[in-house]
Amino acid sequence: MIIILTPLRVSSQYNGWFVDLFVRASNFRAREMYESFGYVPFRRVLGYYSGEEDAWDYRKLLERDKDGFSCIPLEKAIEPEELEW
Amino acid sequence: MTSLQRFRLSDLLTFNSVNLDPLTETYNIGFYLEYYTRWPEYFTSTVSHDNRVQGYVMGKSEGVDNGTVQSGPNKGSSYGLWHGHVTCLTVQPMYRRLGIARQLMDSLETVSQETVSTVTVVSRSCKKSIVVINPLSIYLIAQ
Repeated sequence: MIIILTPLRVSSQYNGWFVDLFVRASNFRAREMYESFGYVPFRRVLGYYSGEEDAWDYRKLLERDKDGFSCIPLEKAIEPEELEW
Repeated sequence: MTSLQRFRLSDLLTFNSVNLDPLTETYNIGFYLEYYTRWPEYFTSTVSHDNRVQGYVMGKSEGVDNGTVQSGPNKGSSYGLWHGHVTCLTVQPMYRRLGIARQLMDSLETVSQETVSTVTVVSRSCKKSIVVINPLSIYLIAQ
């Protein structure tokens, strides 16, 4: 018997510790929205947008980070070149 | 009715009404193609009943998975752990206030914490099945 299988959806094993995103400091509507989704402001990145505007790096823990150590907010703002990725 | 679906390359030709938003960045085609080919699960759109793109989320995974960052100015920190990253999230104005952004973010978060690799397939008998791929074998878990 021949069975033809057509892939519909492929999902890889990412198993991440958290999700992060950058948002313009002036974009209050978006920041409120992300906060309502459970994201927390992790740190400010100075001049991230073309040197003209700061970004907020928001993070949300995933189940893998049970101790929450990857999302403890930083008090000090950082420069874009200090970003890890 | 709104449906979530994997972003298709042809969506690049019809997403103008989404990207005209001043806070939505329009990147060069190669940038979208890189995400499309490297992190397809992270590139999801929602379409309306008449097949219009309402919005999309594009993201990736990055970081190191061994506890702390091994080099650079943040050596020893946990800031750069393996994680999902949202590169852009946008919904066109006429489809706002419907919870579409939340659906797109939920989908990205689900993908980011997946702990098994699965392929959902349709067999000739049109039954939907889920195949779990593990390092030693491929087996069917549901039909």
